[in-house]
Parts: sequence; structure tokens; C-alpha cells
Amino acid sequence: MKTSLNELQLMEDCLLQQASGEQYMLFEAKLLLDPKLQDEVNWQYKTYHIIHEYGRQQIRHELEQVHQLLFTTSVHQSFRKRILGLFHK
Amino acid sequence: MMTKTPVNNRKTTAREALFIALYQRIFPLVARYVAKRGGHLDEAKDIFHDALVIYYEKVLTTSLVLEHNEEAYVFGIARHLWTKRYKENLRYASLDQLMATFEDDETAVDKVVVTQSETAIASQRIVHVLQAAGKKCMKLLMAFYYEKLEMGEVASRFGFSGIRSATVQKFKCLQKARQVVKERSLQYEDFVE
Repeated sequence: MKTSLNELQLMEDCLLQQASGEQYMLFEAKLLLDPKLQDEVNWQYKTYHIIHEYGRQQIRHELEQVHQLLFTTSVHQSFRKRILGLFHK
Repeated sequence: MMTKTPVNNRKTTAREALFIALYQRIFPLVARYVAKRGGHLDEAKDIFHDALVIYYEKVLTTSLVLEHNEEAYVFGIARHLWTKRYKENLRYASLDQLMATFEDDETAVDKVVVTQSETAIASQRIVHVLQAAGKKCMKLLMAFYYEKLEMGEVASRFGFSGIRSATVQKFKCLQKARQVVKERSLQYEDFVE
């Protein structure tokens, strides 16, 4: 059975703490009535965590590219020399 | 009170320009600090990248207004990370564990653990699998949940006709990712046991 968009949105709003008090109450009632939903909630939390980890990895990758750009291209030669000079004193 | 550098239209190219600007302005300060304490360039680079990740998450994707200027904020994080990672020898603690002591240094110091947990390693493996399974979906999920873009901006970046179709696709991707996370996590649990 497919979950409706409204149900997905309600679950997300509750998990990301963006729901109203009334919505929380409704969701808590659903949790009590549907044991599978609790399982879904747990995996959804973990998925949010993994997406955050993925985001971090992307940002680190972009920073590494910027580092390579600044330390290997001739246009940024003076910056590179300035930094390397700090470590060779 | 100083303002932060704006991330214009928040596209990857705009972010790259921002990172280059921050690198040129702040990395020399961090490098000098590390060099004076006998550290190496790679160590300065590592803590600077971590500091920029934190700055990106806590400031650039939120409406937080800085009390001090950008340089002071990023340098402050880098100095904190240097102290924790190299002076207190917590090299293998995760970034979140190290940052737990940044804002509340007195009370949270005991919570820092020395080794990276098995959970964190399993998470990195799952990220790798998800990336291979569907890069476009992961980029869409990242745009909404990590970069904190509005759905309108997500729709425009990924070429959806409107907010509703972008939202539908976002939930499809989330459900797909959740399924992979569940399957893989259970597999890794089997290995650990």
C-alpha cells in the first residue's frame, strides 16, 4: 500500500519538529495504532542522518578541489608561496 | 555585529567562489597558528576544512546572525579543533564529538570519545552505496535537507515544473534512500554480530 503525500509530509514535519501541537497528537495516535510506523520512523531518522553525512562529504570534496586549485595553479602562486613560507621557517 | 558572506543563489559555482574567498582570507590565519605550534600544512588544511564545514552548516544554511565577524568565527572553530585533535590527542574523534565541546566546553568535555564509533564507519559505507545507487536523488535530498533550500529553489535547480512535483520527487527519493539504509544497516549489523 502506498503512503499518501500528506502522510509523508506529516511524518516529516513531526520528525523535523516543524509540526503543530495538533499534528503531533495526530501522529502519536497513528504511532500507537500502527506498530510498523514506529519502525519507519526509526529508519527515516537514520536516513536523515545519512543524508547529512552525504552533504558533509560533498562539501569536503568541494573544499579539497578549492585547495588543489589554490595550491597547484600558477594564478594563485603568491598565495601558495605565502602559506608554504609559514611552514619552512 | 558583522554580516556573513552571502551565498548568492546557492548554486555550486557560487559556493565554490565563496569557498575560494574564505580560503584566501582565513586560511593564512589558521596556517600561521598551526605552523607556530609545530604543526604541518596537512593538519592546518584538515582543521580548516572541518571549520568551514561547521561554518557552512551552522551559519550559511541558517538565519543565524554572527556576533563576531566571519574570520573570528571560523578561526575560533579551527583553533578549538586544533586544541582538541592535536593538543589533547583526540585525533580519531568525529567532528561532531569534537564540536560538542565548542559551545559548552565545561560540561561536554567528558562526552568526547577517542575512537570513531562503528556506527559512524557503517554510515560512511551506506553513504557510498547510496551515492552509487542514485546520485541525482542524493543531490536533491542534500539540497533540501543539508543545504536547507526552499522547495521553490529545489524545483528551479533540478528543473521541476513546480513545488508540488519537486516535493513528490523528494519523498520518492527519501523512501528509496530509506529502503537502502534499512537493507544495508541490517547487513552491517549481521557483520558486527
